[in-house]
Amino acid sequence: MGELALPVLAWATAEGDVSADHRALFGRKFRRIGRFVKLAQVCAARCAAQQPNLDLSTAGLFIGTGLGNTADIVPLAEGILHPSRPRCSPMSFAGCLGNAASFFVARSVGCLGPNVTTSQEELSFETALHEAVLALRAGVVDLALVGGVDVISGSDDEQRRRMNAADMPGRVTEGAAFLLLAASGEAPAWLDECWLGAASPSEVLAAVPSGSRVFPGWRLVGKAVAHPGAVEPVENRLLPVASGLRVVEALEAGHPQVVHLQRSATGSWGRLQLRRGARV
Amino acid sequence: MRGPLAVRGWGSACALGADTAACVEALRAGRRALGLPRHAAQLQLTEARDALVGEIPLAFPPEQRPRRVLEMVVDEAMDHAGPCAGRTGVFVGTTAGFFVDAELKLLSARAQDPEAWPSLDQRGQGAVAEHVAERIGARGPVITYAMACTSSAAAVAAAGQHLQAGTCDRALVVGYDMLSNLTVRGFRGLLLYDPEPCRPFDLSRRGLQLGEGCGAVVLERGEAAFQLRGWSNHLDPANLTSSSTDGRTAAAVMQAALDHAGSQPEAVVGIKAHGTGTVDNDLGEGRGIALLFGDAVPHFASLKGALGHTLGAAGALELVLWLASLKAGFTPGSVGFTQPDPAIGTSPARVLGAAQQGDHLFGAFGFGGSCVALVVRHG
Repeated sequence: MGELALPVLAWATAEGDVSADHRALFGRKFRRIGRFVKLAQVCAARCAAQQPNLDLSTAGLFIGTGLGNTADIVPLAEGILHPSRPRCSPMSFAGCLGNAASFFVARSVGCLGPNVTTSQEELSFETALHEAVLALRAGVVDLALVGGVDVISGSDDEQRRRMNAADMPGRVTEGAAFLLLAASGEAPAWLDECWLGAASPSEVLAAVPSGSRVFPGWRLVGKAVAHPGAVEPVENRLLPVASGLRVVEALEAGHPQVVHLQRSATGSWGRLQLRRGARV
Repeated sequence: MRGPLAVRGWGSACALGADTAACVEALRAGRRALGLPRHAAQLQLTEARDALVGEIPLAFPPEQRPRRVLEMVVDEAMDHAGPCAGRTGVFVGTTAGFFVDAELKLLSARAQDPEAWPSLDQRGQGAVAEHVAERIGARGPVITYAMACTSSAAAVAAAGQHLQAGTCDRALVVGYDMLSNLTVRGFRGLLLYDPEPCRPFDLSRRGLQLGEGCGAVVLERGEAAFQLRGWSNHLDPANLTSSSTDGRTAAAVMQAALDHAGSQPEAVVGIKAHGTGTVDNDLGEGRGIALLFGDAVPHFASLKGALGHTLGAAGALELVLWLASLKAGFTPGSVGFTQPDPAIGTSPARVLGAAQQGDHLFGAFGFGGSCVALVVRHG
């Protein structure tokens, strides 16, 4: 999907402990939810707040997550499998649903259109963005709130093992990133391409426009596959949906033309092209 | 590229049988395949071993079983569909992916050393799709939908959208979920697990049974005896774990899918209901059917009384079983249903029906407010 020119109206990130922000935004309205949902809600609210006059009631919501609510799933499963005192809280089980974040974000920002949760390892954010692009292009929605969220469970080593990233350089972290896209109109930035598929590195790089600044995904940082001579030096965050954070970083860096590349451990690729400035 | 989408092939395995032919014959016989677990070695906890489940009748070594089942079903579907020169995309719907690996690993470590307390090696749900993509050499998009019980119905809808957008030439859609202690215990904790065989839409229904299953559908642009014509995806924001029961949401999502298909209720000749056997799901869905179809409700049935609720696999798996039954000359009946519930206002078919040409509607309603409907034309 090249030359999309889809308006990117707003973007936001959230990292670390967002409990205070969550309380400030929602008070006690959402109780008994964990860090995973809170991160997604706070980040989505920050993104939506940048366009306060937009009616999101029919907007689509597309969220990607690599590991889901692992912060709650692991203790719940370990509790269930405990040899002498197995336990299972019904509410904890419900909170472990793959689409729990989508459900609570939809309620908190009033985004009640089609609701999709994807999970595809390193390409989780990209897959959510891809689904949003298809829905916008097909006229299913006029607006799409697209996000990625992932949290940590256990030690850094355990988290790296879950991500198949034992030897990767970088900092294990948790966070969320959201973009607000429209089918048409004016915007401060544009999504020109969202491509997913299997290809050789040279095929993937051949489609990168000259003059682009390349922001490598976390599995590519330090590898020799990125575009020669135009690679942005970045801090590597290790979380499955780090692509979302990297895309926001790229938008905020202010380069006129940026490309984000990510690769899965099994050879699938994602390539995103974004542009700042007026419509071309 | 809006146009017909052909169903080129399918494969399946569930409690009813290890391939589609066996499953269809079991449906024709009206067999109920729920029982105590024998092959799913991960179900070692007392509560899980005491629960009725729908277990795939395949006794592979425990650590190989999750992938062997998946591979068998994918191979059946790809063989059925035949070769394709273009790019294939993989679209998987699952709630737990290979989570069963983590349970097996932990329980196995503990069997060796009762004091062992290794960390749970949970992986992302996307691992299933990557395994499938590697097996078939997919070159198109590889995407997993994690949307509770609607996961693989959503994957079918998304695959349709991808084919129409031209991101791939063939879409392999897979619904996959294996039994786990986590889900059996979780549904019991929510008081949604019926100790007796489940009875979808029945007055006496008290809940569901879980089943394991895998269903795969191959779609391409073009004409065929079965065509995916429309779909819709709605959010029911009322409650995380319970459906709206007034029927309006279910009616709206089905109507939207018919609109997308360019169809109307009068053209529908069969409905494969979600029909879990829980009080609220069946009330909301059944009332939705009654609202939409009035006095002219077509043959409808739930398959979960026969094979259990296969969670994220249900959408694609039950689509395969319904279409394969039509191809075999009948429409499945609703196993477990005997007494109508006046509160619902309509009832499923107790017995098999004829295989009618026309539009067939497929409903999927899940936790997290996910609602998906599909329309497939037989003709």
